[in-house]
Amino acid sequence: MIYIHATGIHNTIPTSGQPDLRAELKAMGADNRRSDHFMRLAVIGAHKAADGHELPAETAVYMTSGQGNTAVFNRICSALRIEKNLPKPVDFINLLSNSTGFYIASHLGLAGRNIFLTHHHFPVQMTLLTAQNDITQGLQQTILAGGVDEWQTRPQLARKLMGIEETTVLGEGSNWLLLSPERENALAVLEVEKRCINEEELTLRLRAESKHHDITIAFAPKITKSQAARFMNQYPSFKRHNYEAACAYYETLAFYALNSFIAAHKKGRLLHIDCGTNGYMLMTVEIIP
Amino acid sequence: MTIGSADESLKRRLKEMIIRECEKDNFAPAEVPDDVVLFSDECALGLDSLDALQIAVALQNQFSVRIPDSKSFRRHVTTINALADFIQPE
Repeated sequence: MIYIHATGIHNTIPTSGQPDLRAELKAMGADNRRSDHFMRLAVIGAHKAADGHELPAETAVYMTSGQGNTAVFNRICSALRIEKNLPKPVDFINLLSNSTGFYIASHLGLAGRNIFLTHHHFPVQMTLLTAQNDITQGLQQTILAGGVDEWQTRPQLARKLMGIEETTVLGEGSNWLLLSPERENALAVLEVEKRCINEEELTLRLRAESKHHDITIAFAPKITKSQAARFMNQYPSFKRHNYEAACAYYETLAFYALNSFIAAHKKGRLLHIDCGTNGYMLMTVEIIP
Repeated sequence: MTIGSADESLKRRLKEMIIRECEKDNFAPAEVPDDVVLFSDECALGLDSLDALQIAVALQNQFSVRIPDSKSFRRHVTTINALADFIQPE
């Protein structure tokens, strides 16, 4: 169990290409030079979570992404394979494992642990689980944890790779949480389940949750509409967090689901349900009134 | 036919390339002097070693000029005039 002290939400549904974020970033006092869209997106979201908080220099940055910095990856591949030219050195450097984390740390003046986690099915849950483990074991005192996904410049190919319907609208987002073991001044409590559960265990869990008051459920996009409807019918006292209404698809949407719930509620408990090939993964957020 | 440092069009293209590749968008080509050493305190662009790498790759991609090492870079990429003479020698 860890505490959420701040949220940072940057969530957009681009209509014609990746939006230009340079003016917004400049207004935050960040240097645009040598950064690309993915990095700008990351810095803006992290900045919003950190804004108004005096972060200790040793604050860690734990970041994830479903697709990563694909625009620059495409540009490098295009330079090498199609144009038969050398890629730009800055593009190459920006693709190195954790360059984006460096930009965030540099902008916020942080020198703590800085990691970029990836996971095929549960990028958000695995990032928050790592943060939860490190905080509960006393390895970290403050963690800025976030998920970043940029609008895909080749949407049809991206939909195919992500295994989503051809009509799914793609969005982009950079959503961050400021986490610590301290309850004082916290907005909410976060708990990430440590393992996947099967349908039977999920039913038991939902039954147990139904004993609480003021339960809201958020379904990840991988939960089908019929599955979601079935769960909601079984437990009519549950409310549904319709975060999907304000966003389009990207792979780290779970961060947005949690953040938007915290931003919109003064009390209550959110149960976020996601699924992968090994079963369901749950996260709960309980607002501290 | 004017070539090298006498070719104003070439020098303008070089300046535009440097500004673009080094993301020095707050500079206009006219603000980059022809005869000031680019990688020096006298040059307002404030370029660094990563900019040198960007310029070297851009020269290869856009002008088919290969600069194999840092020694060669330091010899040829001094001022705009020198760079233009290197690209289009007499």
